[in-house]
Amino acid sequence: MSSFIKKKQSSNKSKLPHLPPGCKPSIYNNQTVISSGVAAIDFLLGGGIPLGSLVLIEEDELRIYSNLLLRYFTSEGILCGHRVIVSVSIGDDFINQLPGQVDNIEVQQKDESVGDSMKIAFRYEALQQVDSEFSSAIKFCHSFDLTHKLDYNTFVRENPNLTMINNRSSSTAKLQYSQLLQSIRDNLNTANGVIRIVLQHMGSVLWDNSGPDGSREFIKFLFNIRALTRCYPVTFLLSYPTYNHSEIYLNRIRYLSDAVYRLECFQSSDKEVSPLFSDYHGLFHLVKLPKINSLQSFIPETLNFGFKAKKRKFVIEKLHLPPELGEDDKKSTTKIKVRMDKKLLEF
Amino acid sequence: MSISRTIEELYSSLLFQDKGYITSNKLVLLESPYCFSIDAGFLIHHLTAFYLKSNHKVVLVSFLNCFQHYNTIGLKLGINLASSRIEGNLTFIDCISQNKEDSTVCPLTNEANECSLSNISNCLQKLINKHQDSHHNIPLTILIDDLSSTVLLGISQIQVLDLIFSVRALLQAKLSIESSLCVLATSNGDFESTEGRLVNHLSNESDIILTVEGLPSGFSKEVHGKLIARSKRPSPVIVCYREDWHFKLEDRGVKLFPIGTASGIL
Repeated sequence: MSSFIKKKQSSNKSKLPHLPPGCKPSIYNNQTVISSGVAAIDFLLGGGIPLGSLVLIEEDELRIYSNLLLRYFTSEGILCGHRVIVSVSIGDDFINQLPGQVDNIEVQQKDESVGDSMKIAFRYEALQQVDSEFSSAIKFCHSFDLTHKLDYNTFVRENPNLTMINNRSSSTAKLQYSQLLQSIRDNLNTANGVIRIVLQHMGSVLWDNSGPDGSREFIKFLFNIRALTRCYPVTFLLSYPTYNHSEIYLNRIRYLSDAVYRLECFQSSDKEVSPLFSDYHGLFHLVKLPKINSLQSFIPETLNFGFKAKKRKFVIEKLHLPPELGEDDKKSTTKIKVRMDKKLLEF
Repeated sequence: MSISRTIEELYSSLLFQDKGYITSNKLVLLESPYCFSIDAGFLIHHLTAFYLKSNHKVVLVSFLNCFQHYNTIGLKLGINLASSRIEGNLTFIDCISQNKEDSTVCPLTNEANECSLSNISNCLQKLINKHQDSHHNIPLTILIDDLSSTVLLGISQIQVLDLIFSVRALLQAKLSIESSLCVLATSNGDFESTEGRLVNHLSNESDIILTVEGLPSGFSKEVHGKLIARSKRPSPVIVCYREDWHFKLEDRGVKLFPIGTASGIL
C-alpha cells in the first residue's frame, strides 16, 4: 500500500486567505493584487496592480490611449463590484464611454473558428501560432470589447458604488488640491471593501498656473495620497501630462509613486511614418515596477513594448520589426518560377 | 570558496577595519539613484537586520513606507521586526500615516498641509534621552528611510541638515558607546536640484558611503546594479577606502559579487 495520502481539497481551501471579489494574491510576492482591466498590463506588473498603491500613467500627447486605460480600469472596478471614485475634467464624456463586457466563451469560440480552416498551407497547422501578446494562462480580468459600451443606466447612473467628484473647483493650486484631497478622504471614510480611485489629467497647467510653487503642491498632494494608500485598501490610478515638466520634476513625481508606465503615441511625431513602427500606434514603457512588501519586483523580459488600439480591444505586444516584403523578394520568387517552368518543359 | 558576499559581511568589514583607533559615532550615507528599476531601499532592510542581530537598539524613521512593508521584508531576511518592536529593541517612527491615535505616528505635514521637521526632531531627542537613562551601555542606531522626500515636500535643505547634525551631535554627547546614524537619500547626483545638493553635502560629512548605481548599459537579468562602498579611515592620514561590487537582488536577500563574475558572464 502506498504511504501517500491524498490531501483533501476542503482542507486546502480553508487555508487560502479570504479575499474580496476581484482580488487575488500575486504568485511572485503574495501581495494582494487587483486587475487593471487589460490582461497584458496585469501580466507585466506581476499579476496585477497591488492593492494599496499609487500607480501613474504618463499620458500620450493626445490623451487618447491614457484615457482608454483609465476607462478599462474603471469598467473592471464596476464589474467587480468595487467602490469606484472618478475625478475627470469638467465636460469630459469619460463616464459615457466605458468599455463593455463580453463573455469569455464567446471570445474563445471566435479564436477557435479561425484556426480550423487551413487547406493550402496545411503544414503550418502543426506549428504553434506565434502570440506576441501578453497574458497569463488564467484570465484574471473581464473580457472587454470596445464596440460594446457599459450600460449607462444600470452600471453608471444607478450604481451606488460609483462616485464622481469634481476636480478643479477652486482658483488657487493649493486650494484645488486640498479640496480634492478632502473629498477623497470623506469618501474613503464612508466606504468599505476595495476602493479604486481614478484621477485624470492631474498636475497640468490648469492645476498649477502659479509656476514652481504650484508644482510643489502637486508633490505634496502625491505624498498625501501615498499616505492614504498605506492606510486604506485603495488603489489610485492617476494620469498626468509630461510636457511642460523638467526631467528633475518628473523624477520626483515618479519617485513618490509605486508604479509608473508611460505611453508614447506616434501620431504627430516622426515615428508615425517610420516603417519600423508601422504595426503599432505607440510605445508602452514600464518606467517603475511595484515593489511593495518585497525586496525585488517581478521583472519582465524587457521594459519597452508596442501597443495598438484595435477595433475591439487595446493590445500590448512585444516590439518586433514588420516582415520584410520589399521589391527584392518579389524578384527572387519570379526567378524560381521561371526555372521550374524549364524543368517541366524537359519532361 | 565562494567569492560572493552578503551585505552584512561587507558592512561589518567597513565598520571594523579601523579597529584600534578611537572611533566616534558614525554617519552612514546610503545613496540611491533616480533609476527606477533599482534603488537603495534594500540597504535599509539589510542594515536594520544587521543592527538588530548585533544587539543594538534600533530606531527606524520612515517617510515613505509603513511598518508592514519593513516587517514583511524583515521576515524574509530572518528577523522579526514586530516582535523586536514589542520587546523594545526596535522603535518605528511612522512619518507617513496620518492616524493620530497611534503614538508612533509623527506626521510630516500638519493640518494646514505645511511640512516641518520639528515633530521628528523632538521625537528623536526624547528617544535619545530616554535611551541614555535606561540602557546607557547598549549602542543605539538610528536609520532614516528616505531623507530626500523631506526636501521634495518643500522643507529647506538647511533645516534637514540641521536635523541630521543635531541628532548626530546629541548621539555623540549623550552616549558613550559607539552609535550610528544611517541616512538614505535619493538624487541624480547633480547640483541643480535641492536633493542633489543635499546628498552631496551629506557625502562630505559621512564616514561610510554606500552608493547604489544602475548599470550604464541598462537593465540586466543577472546583474541588477553596482554597489560602491567607501569609508574614510580616521588613521593619522585620512585615506578613502573603496570597494566596488555588482549585486543581484534575490527574494531572500542580496548577493554581492566582484565585478565581472556574474553567473551570466562566467
